[in-house]
This record gives sequence, C-alpha cells and structure tokens, in this order.
Amino acid sequence: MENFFTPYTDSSPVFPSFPIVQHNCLGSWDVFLSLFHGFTMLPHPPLLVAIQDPPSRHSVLPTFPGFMSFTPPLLAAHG
Amino acid sequence: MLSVDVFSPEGLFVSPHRSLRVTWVYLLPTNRPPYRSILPERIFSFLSYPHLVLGDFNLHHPLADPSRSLSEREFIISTCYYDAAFDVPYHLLNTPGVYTRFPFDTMSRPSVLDLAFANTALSPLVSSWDTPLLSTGSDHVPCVITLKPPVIMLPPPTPHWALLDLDAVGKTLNTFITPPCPARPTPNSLSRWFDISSTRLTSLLTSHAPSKRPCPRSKPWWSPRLSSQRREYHKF
Repeated sequence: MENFFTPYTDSSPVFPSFPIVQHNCLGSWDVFLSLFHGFTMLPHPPLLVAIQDPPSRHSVLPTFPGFMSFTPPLLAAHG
Repeated sequence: MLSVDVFSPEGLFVSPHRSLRVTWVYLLPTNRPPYRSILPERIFSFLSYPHLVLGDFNLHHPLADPSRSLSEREFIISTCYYDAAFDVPYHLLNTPGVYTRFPFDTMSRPSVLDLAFANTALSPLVSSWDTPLLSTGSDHVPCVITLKPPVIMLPPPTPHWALLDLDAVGKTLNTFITPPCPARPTPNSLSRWFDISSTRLTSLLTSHAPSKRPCPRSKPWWSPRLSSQRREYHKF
C-alpha cells in the first residue's frame, strides 16, 4: 500500500520539529478519516497521533497509511 | 491511559535527554472521588526526562477557560487534578480561552476539555500548542503540540575596551566632526541629530576596539598563547 505521507527514514535529516496531534474521535470512522486527511494542512505531518475513543470494527482498531498503531487491548484503552 | 516512550539515541533535539514519554488519557466521570476514572497521582508523577500528558480530561478550570463561570463542584474536581500537575510540576500548554469542544447541542457552552501538560524537562522543547485543523465532524477540535529544539540566544559581541587602540582613536577623533545641529530644533529633529552623532561616535570607538567574543564558537578559556601554539601546530 502506498503511504499517504512520505515517512521519515534513517537517511532523513534531524527532525525539524516533532508535531503531536491529539483528538477525540467519538468512535467515528468519518471523524478518524477526516482527521488524518486533514494533516495535509500542516507544515509537517505529525509523528505521533494520540486518539481518544477511536473507532473499531470487530474489536480491530483503525490504521492509516504511513502510520503505525500502538494500542493496548481494546478494553484497556477505554479504562 | 496509554503511554508511549520515544527513544532518540543521539538525544532529543540536541538536549541531554534521550527519551520522551507521551501519555494520553481519557477521563470519564464516576460517582466516587475524585469523580473521574483515573487518579491524578497516576497521571502526573515525577520523571527526570521529558513527559507530555494530553487528552480529554473532562474538566473545567479557570486556568484553561478563564471566562467560564464554574460551579463549586466543577472547580473542586478540576483543582484536584491541576494541583497534582502543578505540584510535580507540570505546565499547562493550552492557550487560555481557546475552546477545544463545541457541543452539538446548541444549549451547551463551548469548553476547554482537551488539555496538554508538559513537565519541566519537556517545557524548553515545546514550541507551540495550537488548533490549526478544520473540524473533523467531532465535537472536539484536534490539538497540535509541536516540539522543536530550544532557541539559544547567544549574547551579542561586546567591545574589549581595555584593548582599545588609543593612538588610532586619538588620530581619528581629531578629524571627527559632529553633524551640524538643526537651525530651528524641534524635539524630534534634536533627538534625531543626537542619535546620528552618538551612533557615529560609538561606531568610531568600537571600530578600534577588538570584540570580546569574536565569534559564537569562541571559548572563554582561549588565550593569545593558545592562538600562537595553534599556529605552530598547523605549520606541521
């Protein structure tokens, strides 16, 4: 799958900045996708996205091209 | 509550710290004290390395939302968490009064529920907290926290007056002429004339005095003897 953003690689220069985004997705896929597509408005794509109440389908949490998911078990995420 | 540790082997933004911990929380209301789902002591604890805490705290506090009128209960509940943060200490990154939640229900007020706190080790690296993204359809607004290397402003070079070349200055001063004073001086024209004369005289003096800091990389322990030794070394 082609990455939505060009990821930073080992040969990339030192990060000019380290943007972190935080958002409450209300368990909605539409909100989740709108959020990640909106990153094109930022001068640098975020390196870390902290999401509260992410959407899920069959207990599988969402992913987006160019990003890796770090998630605990689904129930613990809401604890 | 979830934490991610980011490790940078060469140091985070040329700082001595190699680790950054980002913790995000989602506090839900409960019926028992402290009336939120995670204890404040679990969220805010002393770490010697940079720590960013962010999330939907479901709290109302005058420091984040100064124009909101709070109930006594809201204030007591939120103060418990803010005090825990400030005791460590953590610093609130939100711009006061910038709303992060716009309820779908038009009867409810906008509020500041999405908070971000940085501990003392992280604070110098925080460049901005902002809400630059468009609405995603959520009643919350995405918040963007940007970390950048701290800007270190070196002091400007200062003249070394003790090494002023008095002979050269004396010769130049003999030929120095102040600009003619305005014939009918007004406060502004007199001030301008004084500034020009003062600048010319100062420039003349500083041009004959070496700088105490020839360049930003100069070392305070450097001496003329080391300069001559380095010259000798480079001859080989």
